[in-house]
Amino acid sequence: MSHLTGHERTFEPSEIIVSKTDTKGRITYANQVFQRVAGYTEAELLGKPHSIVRHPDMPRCVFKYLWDTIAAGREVFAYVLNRAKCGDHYWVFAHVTPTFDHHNRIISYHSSRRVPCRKALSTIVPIYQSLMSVEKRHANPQDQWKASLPVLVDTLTKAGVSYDEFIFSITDQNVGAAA
Amino acid sequence: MSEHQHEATPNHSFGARNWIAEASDVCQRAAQGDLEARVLNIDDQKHASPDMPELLHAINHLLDMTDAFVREATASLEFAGGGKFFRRVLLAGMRGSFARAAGSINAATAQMEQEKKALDRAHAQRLELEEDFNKLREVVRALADATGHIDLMSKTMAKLASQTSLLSINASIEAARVGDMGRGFGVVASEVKKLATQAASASSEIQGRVRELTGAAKNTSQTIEQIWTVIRDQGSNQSENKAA
Repeated sequence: MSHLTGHERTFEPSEIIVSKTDTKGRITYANQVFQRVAGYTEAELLGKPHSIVRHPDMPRCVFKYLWDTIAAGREVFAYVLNRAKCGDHYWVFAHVTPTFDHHNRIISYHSSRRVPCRKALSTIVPIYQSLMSVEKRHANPQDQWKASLPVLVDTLTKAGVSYDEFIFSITDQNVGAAA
Repeated sequence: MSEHQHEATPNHSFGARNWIAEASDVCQRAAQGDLEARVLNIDDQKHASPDMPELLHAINHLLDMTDAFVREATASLEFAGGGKFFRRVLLAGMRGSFARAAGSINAATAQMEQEKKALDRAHAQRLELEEDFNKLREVVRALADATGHIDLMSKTMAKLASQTSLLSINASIEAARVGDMGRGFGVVASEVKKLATQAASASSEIQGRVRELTGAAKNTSQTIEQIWTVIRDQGSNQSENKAA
């Protein structure tokens, strides 16, 4: 069912893929760029879990870190490989933030996804591959991220940076900026 | 947020939704600062006018861009406020005024980072100055101690001179009593008396100088302690700034 074509899709640097989910991760809004790139209609996306675009080559520990961070009320950045409906894949630089109500309670999550720079991907891909090789030793998804998350943490500790600092250090902040 | 949207969502019969009322409502909510508002299920519904879906998508697009800018600007400024300057506003997808505002925020963050570095350098230099100055305080204290010692020694010297003088007077008396035989000894006693007088005058001169030195050391010490208070105050101000 989750077949892959090996074909990469992309979108314009001036475009942002936008989606909103409820606190359970079910999609409550997906913009036209999302619909076009992922190849789903709005009706197919609304109410579905965001994992509808999950690609099998994405390490689970990245999502675990992502969800833990936003559930704690903080923003998170991640380079994410997604799978379109037809089996094509596309890379995004995702920025996920919680939305708060007047009482500072999290009511939903928002994600803006931009085209990543290739240079950042050349750093990220080998890291994800090593995390995947750890996860493949386990069958159960929970065992998978429990095994790979310490590897991710260890990689960052050895580099002496926080996750955020690492992500920003490999990200060209001017990518897609209007001239 | 979703309650409102669900009220308005599918009801697949033709013309069941009042798109203009929905669009107005979304715009009103956005104007009130609710950037969660969007028009949903646009394409799978029938529209009386073929331009309507385009308008509704344009409203969503405007909200997406505004929402993205507000989230980016908020995050960047929150980080900078916490002393972390690596979190810049992402310029990707930002156009026109959004791009200019994002550029201004990034420039301000960069400026804050420079000022923070300068402040850190000043702090490090102040710590060095504090350390050097503390050494200077010790030197001045040691100097005052040494002056005190010299004063004591000169007093001992004056006492010795006065005793020697007394002794030479006694020797002169004894020499006179022996008559001619004691004349040579009397000359020696008189020379010893002269030396004792010189020693007394030298020690008195030393004591005078020591008094001057003690006064100067006291002034220096007071001035140094005043400067020290200023340095310490600056230190606590800087620490407060760093903590703020």
